[in-house]
Amino acid sequence: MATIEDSRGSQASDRTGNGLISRLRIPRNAFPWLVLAPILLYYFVFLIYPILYAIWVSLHLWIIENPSASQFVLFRNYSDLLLPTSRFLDAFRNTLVYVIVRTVALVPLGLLTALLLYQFRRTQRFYLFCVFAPIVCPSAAIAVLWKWLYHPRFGPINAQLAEMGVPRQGFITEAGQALYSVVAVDIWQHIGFGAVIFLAGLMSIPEQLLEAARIDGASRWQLFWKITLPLLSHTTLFVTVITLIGSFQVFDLILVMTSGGPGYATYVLSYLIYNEGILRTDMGAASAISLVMFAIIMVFTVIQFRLLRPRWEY
Amino acid sequence: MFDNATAPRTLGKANLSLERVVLTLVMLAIAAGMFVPFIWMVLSSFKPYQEILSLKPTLWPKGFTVSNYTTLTSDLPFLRYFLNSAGVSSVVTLVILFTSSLCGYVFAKFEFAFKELFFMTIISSMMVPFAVVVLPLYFLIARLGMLDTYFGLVIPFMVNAFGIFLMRQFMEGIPGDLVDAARVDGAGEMWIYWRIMLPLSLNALSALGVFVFLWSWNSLWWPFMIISKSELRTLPLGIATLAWEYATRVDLVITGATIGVVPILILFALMTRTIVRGVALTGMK
Repeated sequence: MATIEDSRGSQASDRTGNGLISRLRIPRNAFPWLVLAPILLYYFVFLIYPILYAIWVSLHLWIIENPSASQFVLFRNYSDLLLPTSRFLDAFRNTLVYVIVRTVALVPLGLLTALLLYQFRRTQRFYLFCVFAPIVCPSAAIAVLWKWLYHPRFGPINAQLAEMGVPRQGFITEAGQALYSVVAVDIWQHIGFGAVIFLAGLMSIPEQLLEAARIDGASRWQLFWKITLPLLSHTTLFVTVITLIGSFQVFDLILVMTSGGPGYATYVLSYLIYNEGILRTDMGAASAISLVMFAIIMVFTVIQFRLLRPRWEY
Repeated sequence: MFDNATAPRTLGKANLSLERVVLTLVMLAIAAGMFVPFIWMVLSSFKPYQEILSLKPTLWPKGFTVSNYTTLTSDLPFLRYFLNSAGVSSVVTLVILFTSSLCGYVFAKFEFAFKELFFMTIISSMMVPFAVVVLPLYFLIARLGMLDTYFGLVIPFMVNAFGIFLMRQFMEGIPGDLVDAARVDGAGEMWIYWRIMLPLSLNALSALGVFVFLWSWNSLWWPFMIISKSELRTLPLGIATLAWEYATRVDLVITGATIGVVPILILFALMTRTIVRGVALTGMK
């Protein structure tokens, strides 16, 4: 009892003489407002204003040098995206391919890797390290690394292919292969992400549940399809949506590996936004593209928000 | 999550079965597929130019040299890039941890008008892709005269909606009695935040900190937009620029990428579980 009194006493004296931050005395009712006012102001300046600005610009024939002379054109920037001179449809198609290939590959690969990782106990940390390593690395470095692994003349991959009698491949230098070569790197880099989420899901499945089914004579195969997979359905959906949203936003790999090329073969929406806005200074088109992208991603994000509340109870 | 002790032994006694061997081989193959490119890169950074460009690539450097590193650090301010990244990422991380936890405390432990409306406004910003705001932000930062400054690299990333969400979730789990008791004893709100809420939130703070630091350290698009001065480049931007400007000097480019990757991998090796938990928990990358 005495010790409790003592510690309370010392805490109380602490309260009067502790550091700059602790000593700030702010009335209770004012506290939330004092904290939130600058935060909300910040939000307005660095988030809401930029979005409103993008919407405003997308409705104008925007003149960067003299914005006040810009002409209001309503949805012309949007309808112009469909013209044959616009690269929007190319970029849109490339983005769709990228998103579909990346998602369709990453979800099952993540699950498979998680199922494997689950089997190891003492060595799991080592495997986890290897599988997850590419994710923590800068995409710029990953892009540079693979650019040289892919190199048509000097790259180790082509050297290996040549040894096996396969003709050398252009990979990112050949229009037909470039997009798939980049998405392959992206998939390689991010397998660990799904794997880790699925692994957490696997570990939360109660052992007794599997044990009971095993005693009832279920085979390993049945166990997976009838128990593990259904219990992971929520995790699967979550990984799928997160992967979809992430895939839409690819930029770094494209910028460093191909800069959209060869030709327009690896133009994706985010790269097109940068290209139209900065290099071609067509802010109207760039803003219109970014808002189309926003609308698409918003649909998936709403789904994701719903998923933040887990439905499965064991 | 991911503690050795909690990982189940599904295969029980059958540890040396054929199946176990096959599983181990497959796992090793996957681990190798993920890690061999890095080994190739690190080893190549010690090879002379001619050896990298030989048509029969070697794995182990035959003519071992560190000249790539000396050239890279003397011809380009690569150490500066490293320090720039370290400084910017540290500041961004500390600021986001501070704003997230402070807002988290307010949303978790206070009742006030429009609370949920404010919270939803902040949270809904999570669905805004960076591609939408990147150009308006660029012009905003330009108008503020912050192109080519450290401020420009930090200012758009001082508040993080996910961080606020995470800290609110976490702090709602801290018993309100603790806060009330401190208030009865006459503690100020900042004291409660600093001496009660923060120390009790270290788990969430470390996960969020790891995630924010990595995300900031690795980011390329924003520095690429606003930095043109060589000495202000961050490491990813330095690597990317190296790849464009010295496209034919494979030896230097590979060495630059090695400098970008190895420190982060060492850090990752030291705290594998913390980092994995941080990235998986936040699930944003």
